[in-house]
Amino acid sequence: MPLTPDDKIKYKALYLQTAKPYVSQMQEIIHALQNGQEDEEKLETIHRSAHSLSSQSTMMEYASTAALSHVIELIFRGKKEKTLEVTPEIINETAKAIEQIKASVDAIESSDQELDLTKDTEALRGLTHIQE
Amino acid sequence: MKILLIEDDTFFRGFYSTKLKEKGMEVEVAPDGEEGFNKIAVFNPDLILLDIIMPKKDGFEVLSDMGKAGLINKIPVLVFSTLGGEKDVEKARLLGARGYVNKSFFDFDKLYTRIMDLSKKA
Repeated sequence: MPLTPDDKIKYKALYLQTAKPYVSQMQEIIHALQNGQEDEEKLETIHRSAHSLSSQSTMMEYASTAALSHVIELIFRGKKEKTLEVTPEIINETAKAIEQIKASVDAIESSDQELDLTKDTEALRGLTHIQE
Repeated sequence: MKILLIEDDTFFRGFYSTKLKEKGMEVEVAPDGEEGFNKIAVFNPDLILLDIIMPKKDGFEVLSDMGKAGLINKIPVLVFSTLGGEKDVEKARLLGARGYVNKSFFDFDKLYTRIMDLSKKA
């Protein structure tokens, strides 16, 4: 059986407990990248944070938050695999996307409802030509 | 039944270990592949749920090390990830994983059935 309404209530606190640090980590790293401070560890960490946030958001049925996180995951996966050139423009748009994800997680905490991040996801996909 | 859950994500570790314990299983967790591999000999699990993207040692490396240690045919491994690409599934199978479960699309009954099936075949 899939996630029950009781499961969603029961595990919401755990979700927030883990999602918020991932968002903070992503914010910190993207700001460093905007300032030209790039290294392997930062890239790996932001990739893994976006991946984890996407995964657990999917599990908790916060599909919009999951989708935007997934695009960010794919951006840094593409950078790691050298299949995507991550330009300063992409970094700046990713920074905005991360702020939207933070807002969505805050909304989940305060109202149990995530934000609709469809337009942000489409915009980032469009800029990066990420299809997956 | 003893399950070793090797998973770096705190949420999934907490969620799945709780669910498995509610089903009466004995669950040991590890937050990365290195600690997970080291716990195999100590905990002697009946089955391993193994994430792929992890720090220190990823799931593919754990499978590879299990193969080198002669463990891959003795302890069934269910790869437990959100990577759904055919390449990754195939890579895991070639390294000896017995199955693959997408952890984000939760269906505990199906997971439980797969665990029971795999542990019987071991």
